[in-house]
Amino acid sequence: MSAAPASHESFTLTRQMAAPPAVVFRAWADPAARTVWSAPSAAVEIVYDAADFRLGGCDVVRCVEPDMPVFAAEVCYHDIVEDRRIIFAESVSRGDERMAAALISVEIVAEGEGSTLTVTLQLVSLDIEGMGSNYRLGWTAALDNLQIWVNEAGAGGRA
Amino acid sequence: MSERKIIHGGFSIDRCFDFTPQAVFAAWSDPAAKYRWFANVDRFGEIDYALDFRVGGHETASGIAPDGRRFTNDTRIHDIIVNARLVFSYRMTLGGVPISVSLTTVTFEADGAGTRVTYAEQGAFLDGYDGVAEREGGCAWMLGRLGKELLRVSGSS
Repeated sequence: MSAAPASHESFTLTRQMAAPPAVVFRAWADPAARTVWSAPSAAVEIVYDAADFRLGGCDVVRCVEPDMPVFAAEVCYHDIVEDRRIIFAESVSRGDERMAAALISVEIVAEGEGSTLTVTLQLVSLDIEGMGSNYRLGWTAALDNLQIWVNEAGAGGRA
Repeated sequence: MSERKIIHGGFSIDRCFDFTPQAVFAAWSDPAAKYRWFANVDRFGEIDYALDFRVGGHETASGIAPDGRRFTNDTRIHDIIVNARLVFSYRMTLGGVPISVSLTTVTFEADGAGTRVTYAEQGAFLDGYDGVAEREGGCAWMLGRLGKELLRVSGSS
């Protein structure tokens, strides 16, 4: 088997959050929270087969959508600074195809009563070309959801 | 340093070796060979090294840097296509402090009688302890050591 040439790209998404860093950090650390906000649309169900949010730990996640192939992601944590920073690497597959891998840096900074969230995605498209636009669409939707989750958690809804 | 800051960046290095993709790939997949060119660097003294070469496997290297601080390198292998591609991510620490996290893609392509290796790294360099240019220089030097290892194994040096 040969490998297609790898193509690399990166982009950064920034969001203002209406809750302090501890609430935003918890949204990433807690798989139950992540199941809610990381689905890019209501049709997509995020299923955690394993969750291990600690340095050196890995999550195994499936992204399930009716009439669509299942995407599987393995997410491994390389750096965790509580309430401030998370860096993880993930690989995403569909059946035997390794679609992409990404290094994702999450930075949380206190800003007034709330916080600023900066997510930098450095990715490489592997067996499928042009995964950058999929990543951008998926993560833009997920971070919009996260803003809503944090608003509700910050207001006591899910805190 | 109390400020948390990340510098993101990447680079890609191309090298041609006068050996087949099978021979070049074996220098990455065989723990004894990988140890010789990747980990066994004189100025770092004794190195603790282990490689479990499979998807989901780990590679670890640690030792004492010339300035007396302990360095560690912890790697997770994400993808293997034998003789063609490797994808891994790794975290480095120095003196107990994380200095970088990187995602690396290595491709092996037959090029005439030899192999073109493309080593591409995307990195998050932490709190000013390391940078893109330094890492690129280190990786280029490492690929030079790979070339010497291939010559040594083939008996042509």
